[in-house]
Amino acid sequence: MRGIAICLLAFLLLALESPFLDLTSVRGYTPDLTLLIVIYVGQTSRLSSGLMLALVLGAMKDGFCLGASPVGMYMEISVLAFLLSYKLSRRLALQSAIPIILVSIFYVIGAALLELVLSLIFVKSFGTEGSSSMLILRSMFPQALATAPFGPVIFWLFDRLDGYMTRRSDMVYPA
Amino acid sequence: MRELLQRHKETIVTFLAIVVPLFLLYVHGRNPKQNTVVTNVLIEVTSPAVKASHDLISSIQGVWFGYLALVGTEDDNNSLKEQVDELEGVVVEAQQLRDENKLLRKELAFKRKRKDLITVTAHVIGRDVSAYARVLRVHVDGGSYDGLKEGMAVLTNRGVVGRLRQVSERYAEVMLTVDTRSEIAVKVVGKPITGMVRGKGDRNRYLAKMMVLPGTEKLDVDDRIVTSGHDQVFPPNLEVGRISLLKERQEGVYHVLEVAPAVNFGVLEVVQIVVGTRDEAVDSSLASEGRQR
Repeated sequence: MRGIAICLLAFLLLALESPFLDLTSVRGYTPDLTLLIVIYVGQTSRLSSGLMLALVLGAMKDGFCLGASPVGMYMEISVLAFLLSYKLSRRLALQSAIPIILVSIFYVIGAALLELVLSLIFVKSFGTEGSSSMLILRSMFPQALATAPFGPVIFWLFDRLDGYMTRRSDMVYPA
Repeated sequence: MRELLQRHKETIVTFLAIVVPLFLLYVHGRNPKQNTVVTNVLIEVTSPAVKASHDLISSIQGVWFGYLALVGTEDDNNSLKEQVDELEGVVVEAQQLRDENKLLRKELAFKRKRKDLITVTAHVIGRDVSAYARVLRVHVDGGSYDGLKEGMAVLTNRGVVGRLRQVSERYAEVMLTVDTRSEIAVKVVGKPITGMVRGKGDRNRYLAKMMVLPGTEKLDVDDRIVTSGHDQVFPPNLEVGRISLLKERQEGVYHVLEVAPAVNFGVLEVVQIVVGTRDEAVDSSLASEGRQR
């Protein structure tokens, strides 16, 4: 039930992202909301159920970015990001905005590098279609800065959702 | 066996979660243009959501600009409130109709001007959500059943938009001319110069670059660039853009110039997809007649 709720909310956010960014004229750098949700899931879920959620979230992102990257790219990134977040969940206490922002920046840069490596290995036409790798490297840091401020918002939102689903009243991530 | 599986459940799930996406990536990475069951399902699941959210945001925007922004006028003159609201609604509706009418007239004029092209009209329902590629999602009144295929040219009355990259039954995605993966064979109007236009993938501006072999003819800023038709994708003489920066750069044997696209991708609403040309239509009808005989 919790997994379905997280997936539905993530789907809604991804669907609203494109027209909303269009409305606000912020088209240059798109925040990677899926990655933030995966980090949250890694911090709060058990391994098996969390992995399934990460796979579904990655598939959603793949679906919303179909023309841009081959299917499987964001699924793989989500799974690996989840595993890292899950392993670090006992060492990192992401309970305030600054650590979440810093961790988000780290994850976005890691995800961009992973996307570059996976593209070089698996996407046959990647090197031959212009300066795609330079584009990823150039956009990596602005992308991280565009995504990071959404980290605390996403953590708060999904923590509220978790609270609602489990009838908890004590929120881990304060507003 | 069951006990063994139970004991190693987490390891097995982790292994599968890593390997399954890698397998999908391997399959789709080998030929990104090929549509599989997975891509079709993903398009069919996500496109209605993008369309619905686009409609929702548009209607909220309509309500905001058409009504809420005028709430302050109520205080000034309550007696005229209803009249103002009503007239405002009529004006907004009239403006929308006028704009739509203008847009459709332009598209119609383009269709009349280029009678050699057989096109399908489509509406833009979403813009790029990918961090690293410029992709538009368009909702077409039809789909692969109506003959839309990957690689088909996408235009507006202003010029070339790009080409179809993913097509499902009812939806399609367009790779813009400013995407780094895009390549179009072009020529310069009024000068015997041909070359290729490639996207620059600039995050802040829609820009492309033209690659020409060094020649004797001199190029100027604002020289018009149109399709040459040599790539067998874009029919000839469609507007691509203008040379915006003459500062040449050497890239291999080519000279590289900066090109500003003819189309403003930020305000696209309606596009035309070229499904064939009249010559092809005539040829195929002649061929079928020949077969009947």
